[in-house]
Amino acid sequence: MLFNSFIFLGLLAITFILYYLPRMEHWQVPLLIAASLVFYAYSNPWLLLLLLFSASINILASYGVVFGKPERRRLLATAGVVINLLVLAFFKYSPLLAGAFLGVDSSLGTFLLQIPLPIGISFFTFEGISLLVDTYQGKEFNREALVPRSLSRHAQRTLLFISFFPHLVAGPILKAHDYLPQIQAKHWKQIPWDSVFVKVLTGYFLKLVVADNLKDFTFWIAYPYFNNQSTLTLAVLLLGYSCQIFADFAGYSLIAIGLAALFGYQFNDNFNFPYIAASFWKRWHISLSSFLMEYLYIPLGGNRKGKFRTYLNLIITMGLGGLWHGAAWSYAVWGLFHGALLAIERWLQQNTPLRIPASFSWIKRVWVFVMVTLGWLLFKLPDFNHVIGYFTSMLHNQGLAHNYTVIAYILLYASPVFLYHACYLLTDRSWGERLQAYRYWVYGLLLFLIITNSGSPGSFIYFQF
Amino acid sequence: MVRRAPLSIFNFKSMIIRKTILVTILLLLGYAALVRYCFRDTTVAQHQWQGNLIKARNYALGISDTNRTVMLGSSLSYRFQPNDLPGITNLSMAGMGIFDGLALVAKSKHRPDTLLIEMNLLLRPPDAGFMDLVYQPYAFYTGKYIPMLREGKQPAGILTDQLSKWALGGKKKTSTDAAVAENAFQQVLELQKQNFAKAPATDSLQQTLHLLKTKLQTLEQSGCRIIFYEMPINPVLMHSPFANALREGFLQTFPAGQYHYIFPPENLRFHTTDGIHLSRGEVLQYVKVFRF
Repeated sequence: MLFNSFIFLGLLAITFILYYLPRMEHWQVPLLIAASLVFYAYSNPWLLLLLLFSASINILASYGVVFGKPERRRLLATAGVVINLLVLAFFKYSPLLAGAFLGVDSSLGTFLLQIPLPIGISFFTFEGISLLVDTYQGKEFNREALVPRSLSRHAQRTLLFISFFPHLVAGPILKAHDYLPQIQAKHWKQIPWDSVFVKVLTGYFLKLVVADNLKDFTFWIAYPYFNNQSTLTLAVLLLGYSCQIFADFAGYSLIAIGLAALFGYQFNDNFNFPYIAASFWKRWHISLSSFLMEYLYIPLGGNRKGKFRTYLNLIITMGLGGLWHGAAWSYAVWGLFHGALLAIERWLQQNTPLRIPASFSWIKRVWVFVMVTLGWLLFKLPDFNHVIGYFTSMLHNQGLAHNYTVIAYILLYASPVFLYHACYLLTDRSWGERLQAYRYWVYGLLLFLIITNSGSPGSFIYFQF
Repeated sequence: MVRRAPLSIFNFKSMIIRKTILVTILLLLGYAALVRYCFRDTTVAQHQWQGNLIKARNYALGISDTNRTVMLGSSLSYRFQPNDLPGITNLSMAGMGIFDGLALVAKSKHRPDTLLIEMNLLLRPPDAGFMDLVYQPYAFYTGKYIPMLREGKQPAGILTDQLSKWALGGKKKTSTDAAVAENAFQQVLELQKQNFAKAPATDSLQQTLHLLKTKLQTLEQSGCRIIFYEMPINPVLMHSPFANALREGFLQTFPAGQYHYIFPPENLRFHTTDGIHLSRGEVLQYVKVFRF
C-alpha cells in the first residue's frame, strides 16, 4: 500500500479515529499492529508470513538474551543476528549470487533467480538486529525496561516496533532503544498538530509535485535514450534525478515522521538538508548512516586502529551500505565510491596543511553535491556499461541540439529542492525569521500545487530496497 | 536518545492550519478564474506520458474531438499533431501500443466508424496500469467537472508554455553540430538494426495477431471499418526480417482483399530521428501522401 493511494488514506482515517476513542486506550498497540499488518499484506498477503517469522525470531531471541541464562546471552544474540542476516541474504542477494556464480542453466540457479524480493525486508531486518544488539549490550538503558517480563507483552511491543506502518516499508530505520521506551498510552491532546501538518504537507509536496513530475523527465536517462541527448541536457537530467531521489525519499520520510507523530511516536529526522552538506552522510538517510556507524563501523574498529584501518573500515562500511540498497553490483560500486571519497577526504584532512577558510566553505559543499549527483547515476543505471556510456555521451555530445523543453521543466520542478535548502540557510538571518510569520503563504501554495499539479503516481524509489 | 519536540495542545486558535487552508482556497479560486477566462482553450502536455493521459482521458470524457475516424498507434504515430490529419482523432500513445488505444475505444461510449491501426509496433503489450489511471475516480470526475484540475491545465505547464512563447516568440531554439548529430544517430540506428535483424517468434506473433483479430471482431460487428497502416521508418529497417515478418503476418491474418492497407510509398525515403521516428518535417511530408 502506498502513502499516495486513496486506500491508504482510508486505512489511516479509520485507524486514527479508533485509536483515540476513550475506550480504546488499552487496545492502541494491538490496533496499530492490526492496521500495520493490513498495510503490509495489502498487495501480497503471503509476505506477512515472512514478516511474522522475522518478528518471532527477534522476539524470542531478545527475550532469551534478557531473561535467559547469562552465559547464553552472547550465543542467543549472535544466533538471532545471523538468522536475520541469512533471511536477508536469501531473499535479497540470492538472485545476485546465483546470477554471478551459478547461472541460469542450473536448476538451483534458476530457482534462486526467481525468488521475489519482499518489500521492506532490508528495513525490518535491520530493526530486528538493532533490538538484539541493544538488548545484548544494554549500555544506555536498562534491559528490563526495554524487554518486559511478560513474553506476550514483549511480543506485542516488538511486533509494533518492527511493523509500525509509517516506517515499515521504507524507513526511517528505527533503533530499539529509541522506539520501545515510547510505547505507552497516547492521548488526542498530545498530538503536535502544527508539526504533523507541516511535515505531512511538505512530504506529500516533495513526493507528489516534485518527485513524481521529475520522474517523467528523468526517464530519458535510461539506455539507449541518452545516446542522442546533448551534453547540457544530460547534465540537467542528472541534476533532475538528484533532486528527484531527494524529494522522493525525503518526502517519504517526512510523511512517515508526521504520521508517526499523529499516533504519538517520534522518529528522528532522516534528512537534514543534505545537498548543502560538507559531510553528506551526516545528513542523508541519517537512520541508515547512524545504524551503519553504530552497528558496523564502530564494531569494525572505527578510527581506533590506525589510519589504514580507518580508511579500510570506511570503505567496507560504505560498500556494504551500498549493497544494502539493492542486489546489484552497481550499488556496491556506488557504496565503494562514497567510501573511497570519505577515505580520501580523511586522508587530506590528516596529511595536508590545506584548510578551506570558512568563507569559502561553499566550494566544498558544491564539490560534495557534484560528486553525490554523479554517484546517483549508478542508482539509475544498474548496468555499469550504461553508466560509462552516459558519461561518454556527456563528453561527446556537445554539438547536439539541447532539449530545451526537458531542461526547462527539470529546472522548474527541481527548484523547490533548492529553495527548501535555501530556507535552511536563511533561518539564521533576522529577516529570514521575520518571514517565518508569513510561512502559511508558502504552505498554502504547496497545498494548492498538490491539488492542481501532482505528477502521475509512482511508487517510492526506496521501496525496492 | 530521541529528541522530543514540545507537545502542543491542538486547539482552533492554532492558526497555521487555518491560514494555510484559507490561502489555498484563495489560490484555487484565482486559478479557476484564470483558467476559465484566459486559458480556456489552452492544453499543455509537459511530457509524452502526460500527453498520453490527456489524450486518453479527454477521449474517455468526450472532451476531445470525437471524430468518427480514430487512429491507434505508438510513438511513431504520436508524432502526428492534431491539425496534421483533419477529421481524425489520434489516440496513438508514446511508449505504448495499439492495444492500449483499443482498450480505450472498447470502454468508451464513442464508437468510431473507421479505425486506423498502426502495424509497426504490434507486439508491444498493453500498459497494465494505464486504463486504471485514465478511469481513476478522483482524477476522472474532478477533471470532468472542474477544468482547472485536468492534466493539461496544470499551473507548471501553463506557466512554462506562456514563458516559452514570450521568450522565444514561438520559434524553437536549436543548435546542432551535424557531425555529432550524425554520429549519435548512427549509434542509435545500429541498435535498431540489431532489434530488427531477427524476425519475431512465430508463436508470439500469431498469438498477438489472433488477439487483435478477436478484439477487432466486436468493433467490426458494430459496423466499424478497419484500415491498417505502416509508418515509414529508415530505409535500412524497412525490409528487415522483423518488419517483413510483421507485414506478412498481418496480410495472412487480415487478407488484403478484405481489409484496406496503407503502406509508405517506396519512392519516399525517410531518414528519421532515430531509425523509427519521423522528424517534424518528415511528418508534414508524409501526411501529404497519407490517404485512404
